[in-house]
Amino acid sequence: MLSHYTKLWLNFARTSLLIKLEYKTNFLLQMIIEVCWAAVTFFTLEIMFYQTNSLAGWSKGEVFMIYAIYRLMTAIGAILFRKNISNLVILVNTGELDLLLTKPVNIFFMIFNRIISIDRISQVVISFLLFIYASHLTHLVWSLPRILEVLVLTICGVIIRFGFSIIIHSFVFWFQNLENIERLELNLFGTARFPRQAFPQFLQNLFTIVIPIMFTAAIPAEIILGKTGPLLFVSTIILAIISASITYNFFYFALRHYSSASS
Amino acid sequence: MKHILHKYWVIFTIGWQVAILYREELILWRIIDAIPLLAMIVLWVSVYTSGNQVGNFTLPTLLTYYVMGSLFDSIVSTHFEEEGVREVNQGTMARFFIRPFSYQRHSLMNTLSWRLLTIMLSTIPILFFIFIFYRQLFIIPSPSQLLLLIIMGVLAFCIEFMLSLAIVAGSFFFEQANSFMHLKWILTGIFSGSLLPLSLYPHWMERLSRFLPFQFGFAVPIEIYLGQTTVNQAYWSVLLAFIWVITLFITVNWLWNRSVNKFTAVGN
Repeated sequence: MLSHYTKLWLNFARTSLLIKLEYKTNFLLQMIIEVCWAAVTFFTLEIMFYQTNSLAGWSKGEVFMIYAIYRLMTAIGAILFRKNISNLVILVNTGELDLLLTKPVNIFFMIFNRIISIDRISQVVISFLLFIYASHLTHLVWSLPRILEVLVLTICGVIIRFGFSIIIHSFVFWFQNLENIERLELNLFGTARFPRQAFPQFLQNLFTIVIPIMFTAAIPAEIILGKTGPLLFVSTIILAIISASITYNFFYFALRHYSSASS
Repeated sequence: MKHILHKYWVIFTIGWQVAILYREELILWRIIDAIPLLAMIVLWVSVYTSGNQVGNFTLPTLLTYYVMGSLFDSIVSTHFEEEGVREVNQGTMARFFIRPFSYQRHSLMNTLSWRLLTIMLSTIPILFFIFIFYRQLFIIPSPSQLLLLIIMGVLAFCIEFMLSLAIVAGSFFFEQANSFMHLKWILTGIFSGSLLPLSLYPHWMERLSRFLPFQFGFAVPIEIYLGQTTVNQAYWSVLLAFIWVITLFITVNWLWNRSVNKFTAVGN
């Protein structure tokens, strides 16, 4: 069964790559744009630290570490899920979901894995460059356990963030006009680029407990930089498992409210 | 003349009715768009609480810069290029070539109607910020400042409109012109002063920004509002903005006339 889904995913990846390569100029332009967007934030942080030495007690290198993690999670999510999630609105509104529902494949897998945005790979490269830069500034030494720690935290962060995105997009089964709802996810989770200590206490609580935004960059950076104990590391893993379960179940609950739009 | 005016008034009212139809979504987007602004404000407050001073900005001045700048930006910015690029790619642009009004004028009237509703809805999050930071934010502009702000608003809107139109024109040549849209957003982000006040930039970047058209939608009007510019500097900004409007008008018209000759569409 697993092999069947692996084969299917590889086929999706191959098709996505072929489609992207059909528009070579756009593929290249997309990569350049990704670099430019990263440069804009890099440049903003550089100028900010030109004016101050620390941000809520965080040094320049530490803030860049948060940004590196944020970019890595955003990149992985953008490659694997973002396009699929935003496509859900179109699938529901046009009734194209009918076709997918008839396939002998798990519908959750089918909807959220069909498109692999390989042109976002440049974001991963940018993230690694940012890791190198932040490590250089913070004198962080990389070891195998630390790499594994980053890997686990990244997977957890991606699950939490894009799980939230799937949940808000699932509201399309009730409210049809949900185009660009991904801006909510982008703007909300964009706040995780900054140290949580910079926010007032009530916003810290809101972004940590109510909507776990801070678990997708700021808290992982705290863990990697040794600013907090192992409790938050374990909490992140537990939260990711709970998040995955809620996302999966909520999606199926929402799907039950689907009424086809096609003729 | 009356007939022509009536024609555009009808386009405006249709645009207004469509905008009203999406009023809940517009309110939602206004609130969602306020999140990065809130994050930026929180960050700067944190910087100031640590006892730092940023350039020649006090905390209230900086907060006013972001909040009022965002308000001005939401009034003058245009976003019809995404729809325009789609119209060209899907061939539906063809309908504008057989109608008794051009795509440019239709977009202008449509954009104005959406802007009107945006102005009304933008006041909601902005009033929220003013409510929180009212002690720091409440500055009443003098009549001359107000006049300059209105002039700058009109010029900034024209510049934004021309840039959006240039992107739509570009989509006649390039199938995937969405990249130009991102380019516009990136350039606007850097050179408008919406991310950081231009005076905090390295000297060479500030000088470069001061010659580009992006500053008129954010930095320049707020500097006028905050009284950070001399009268001569304000007049120079108005003149430069006017030169940009003329330059862009000529360039975009030339580009548009060349573009429509490239257009091919099939359909039923």
